[in-house]
Amino acid sequence: MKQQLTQEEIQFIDNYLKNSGVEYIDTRSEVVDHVASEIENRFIENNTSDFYEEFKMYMIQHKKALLKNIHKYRWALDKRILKQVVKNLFHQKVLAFQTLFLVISITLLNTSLIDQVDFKAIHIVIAGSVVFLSLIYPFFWFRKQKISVINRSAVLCYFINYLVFDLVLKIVDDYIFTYSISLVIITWFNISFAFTQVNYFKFYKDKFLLS
Amino acid sequence: MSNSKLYKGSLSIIILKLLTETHKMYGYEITQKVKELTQGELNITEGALYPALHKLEADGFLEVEMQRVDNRLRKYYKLTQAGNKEEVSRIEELERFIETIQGIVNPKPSLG
Repeated sequence: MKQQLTQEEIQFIDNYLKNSGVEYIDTRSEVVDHVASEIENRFIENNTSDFYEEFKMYMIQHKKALLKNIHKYRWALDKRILKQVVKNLFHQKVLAFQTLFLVISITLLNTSLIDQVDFKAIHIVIAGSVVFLSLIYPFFWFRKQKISVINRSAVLCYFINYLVFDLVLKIVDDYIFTYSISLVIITWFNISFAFTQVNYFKFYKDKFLLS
Repeated sequence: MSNSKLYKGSLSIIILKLLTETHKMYGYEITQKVKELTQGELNITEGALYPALHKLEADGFLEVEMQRVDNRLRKYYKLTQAGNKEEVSRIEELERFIETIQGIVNPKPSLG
């Protein structure tokens, strides 16, 4: 009696879930394992090896609960990312990059070059790079698969930058002072976001590509 | 999962308790273990289990480890140091709660 699903059957479950809106590979892999384990258990309990029949029965009973879980997952994920980003603000590598940024900025402020430096452009390049690289680079690296934690961190990074520069700065009077302070803080966050994403990237690269 | 709200409120405690006794577990294994321990009385659904696991992970009480098993990836959950402390604290809280409710539901007869 067959007890384990084949690679093709696992792929079938994966494709089905992907087409049902479970877009992130890390989330989907956990659900695929759950569904596959349940079907294998049903093979034993029902003394059968009809994969498609057991899969169909399982989905009729559980699809709603499975997909509901995915939407609940997003908030838990955002919370996890933000906690990690805040924690990484005080990591020595992040502090070192932030210090470097401050040293360069202060040096420029004390030279005649300051008039030629467009800090807004620098900020857009830094924030844009974090968001762009976190969305595009992993997309190709993981064979066009999306990783939830990396994609969501890019979205959060974009949202925080947008909030500060497009909303907060439009409602304050002391523009130059607020802008300088905001730029220092947001750059610190952006460096931490980049550092956090690199760490997540390494973790998932090991798990999804090399395993 | 059983419809009882009492069970739903205890899900994270159940997960933490199981993980103190078993070094690491994956989602489906947790559902089966609970079913076995409660002789089928408590049936945890996917819709309840995974949000609870992800919340505990987001709170820093669980960490994950991934392994390739039987043609697929499996996500194992393990307690962190903070998770161990949380488990002790929540179990104590649960025991106090049970004791209090016991005092109301089954009051000891007074000697006077």
